[in-house]
Amino acid sequence: MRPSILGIQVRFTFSRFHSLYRAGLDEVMKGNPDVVGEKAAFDWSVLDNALSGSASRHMHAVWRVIMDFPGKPLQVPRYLLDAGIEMRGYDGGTSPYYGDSQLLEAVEQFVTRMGKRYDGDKRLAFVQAGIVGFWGEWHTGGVDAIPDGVTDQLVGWYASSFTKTKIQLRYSLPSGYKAGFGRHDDSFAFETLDGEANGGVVRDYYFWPDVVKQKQNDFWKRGVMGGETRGHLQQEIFEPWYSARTFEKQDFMDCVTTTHTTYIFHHSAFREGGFTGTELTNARHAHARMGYNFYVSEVAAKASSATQQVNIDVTVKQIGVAPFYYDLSLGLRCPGMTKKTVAGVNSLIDNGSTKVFSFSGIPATTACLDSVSLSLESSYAYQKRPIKFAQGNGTVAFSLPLPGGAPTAPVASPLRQSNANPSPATATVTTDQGGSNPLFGRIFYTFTAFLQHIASSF
Amino acid sequence: MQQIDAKAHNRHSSRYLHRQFGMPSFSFTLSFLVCMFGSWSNIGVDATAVTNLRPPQPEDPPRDLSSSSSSSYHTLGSTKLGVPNPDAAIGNPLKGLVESPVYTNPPYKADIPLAVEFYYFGQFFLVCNLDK
Repeated sequence: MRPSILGIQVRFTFSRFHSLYRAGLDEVMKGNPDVVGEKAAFDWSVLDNALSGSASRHMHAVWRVIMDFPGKPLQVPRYLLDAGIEMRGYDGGTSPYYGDSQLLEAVEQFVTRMGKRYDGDKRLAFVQAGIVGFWGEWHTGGVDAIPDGVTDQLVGWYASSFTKTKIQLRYSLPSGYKAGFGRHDDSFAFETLDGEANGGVVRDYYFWPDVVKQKQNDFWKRGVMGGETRGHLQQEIFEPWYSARTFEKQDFMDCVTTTHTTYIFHHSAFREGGFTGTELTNARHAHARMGYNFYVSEVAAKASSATQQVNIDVTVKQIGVAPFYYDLSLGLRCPGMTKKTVAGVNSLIDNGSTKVFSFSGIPATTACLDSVSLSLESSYAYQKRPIKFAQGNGTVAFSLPLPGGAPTAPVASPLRQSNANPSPATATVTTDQGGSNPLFGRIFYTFTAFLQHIASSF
Repeated sequence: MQQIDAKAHNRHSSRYLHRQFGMPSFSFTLSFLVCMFGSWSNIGVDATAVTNLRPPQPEDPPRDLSSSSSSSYHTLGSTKLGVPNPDAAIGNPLKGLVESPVYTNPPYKADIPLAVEFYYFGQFFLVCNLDK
């Protein structure tokens, strides 16, 4: 099918737009086209630099590759333009025809190579599938440039190339849902919810109504929900005077809890000046409430069937709106023991769900049980940005006195602490105190020590 | 003179009394009282109380708990572990509000601790010639 502008079918070639590519590139588009053209087929330096830059700040990257950013120079690879691929014009710009076979071949190879290089990279949080449409958002403002089936092909290429890093799509494709992909809504809080949350106005094409219509309400359990707050709402949505729940002015937290949002691009919060006062408080609240939140709700210590050990059961509760989408374990440390971890915190999906993590073989020493600490461990977490519990700390620390009361006298006593080489009698007595009667143990210890002392005196 | 004084002192020391009359030394007597008092004072201790953490005692031998019950002997609830408050965990990785380092030069404002950065990439720079 020929491209069209206002119904007039046209065909553009590279030469028509050559000057556009040379016109200089917006700062949003990184890189140097002249250098790139002399390199191999794929130049990953831009993506590599982004990842290393984010990692140097102990942050993760989310990216979207695009070919058409309206108002900016076209981002179609140069050799495709030289080859004269089909183009579509629209008011204010041009778009490639996404059904062009050469373009599709390039996209397939690009996604495949990108997956080989970055799938599972711990610095890369999520990838928005992008590539097709304005801003990579799979729409072209009414211009017929995305033939049926192209986005399904794109989903297939991503599905076979990215098996670890989470992929997000702009729209509710059944193939994307089947692949476990997440979603991104780039008109967040503007066209996210309808009905009561939208001033009573129903719009079945808005983000969440469409998700519901496609019966994909639970996509967030496997795929990440993200996006961007609609531009013109960014500077008012956290203000106390913001008229939330009116037409196309939806409440930010309504949208977060309904769609189970993990992250939202919100430039205004970070621009010069930023937010202050109530607006800042509201933004911080929203910032913290997105995505996962775990806390330790209970710790129970039990005697082990093995001697000189205890078992510790830790209950972790999910109180966030979304899962942690990568590996997440619970770690337990104490003095004198190598850290133990139990996997599966990431299996806590729904708000309110709990799971018991059992740690066995914990030394039954006061040294260990007086200083137990728990932590959330993920291969995705930077050392300088640990995953905090909702208790507010990177670790939850506590003491678990031994059965029958603790600490025991031989340990607590300054005499005992200074004894670098405890006598066999002392060690034996300490073991005896593990019974259910601490008072008897203390008397027995004292009596034994007394006899020992008398004997050594003569 | 110093030797005489030293003898006088030794004569009144607990070690002297112990040697002469078979009485326990002062240090042992002290340890005896500490142990006994410690035993009684521990009666009725709330086993669920979280006490101040004391320094590790590496020489402390493990306890033999084989005769103990297999049921929980000690349980801590949220009142001891900390009340849940997601706002306190602000800045956690892989979530929250996001900014692009292209839009705002890092370092970012610290009042909203950022954990994720967003990038647009033009494919123009990434793919140049598949025939190579």
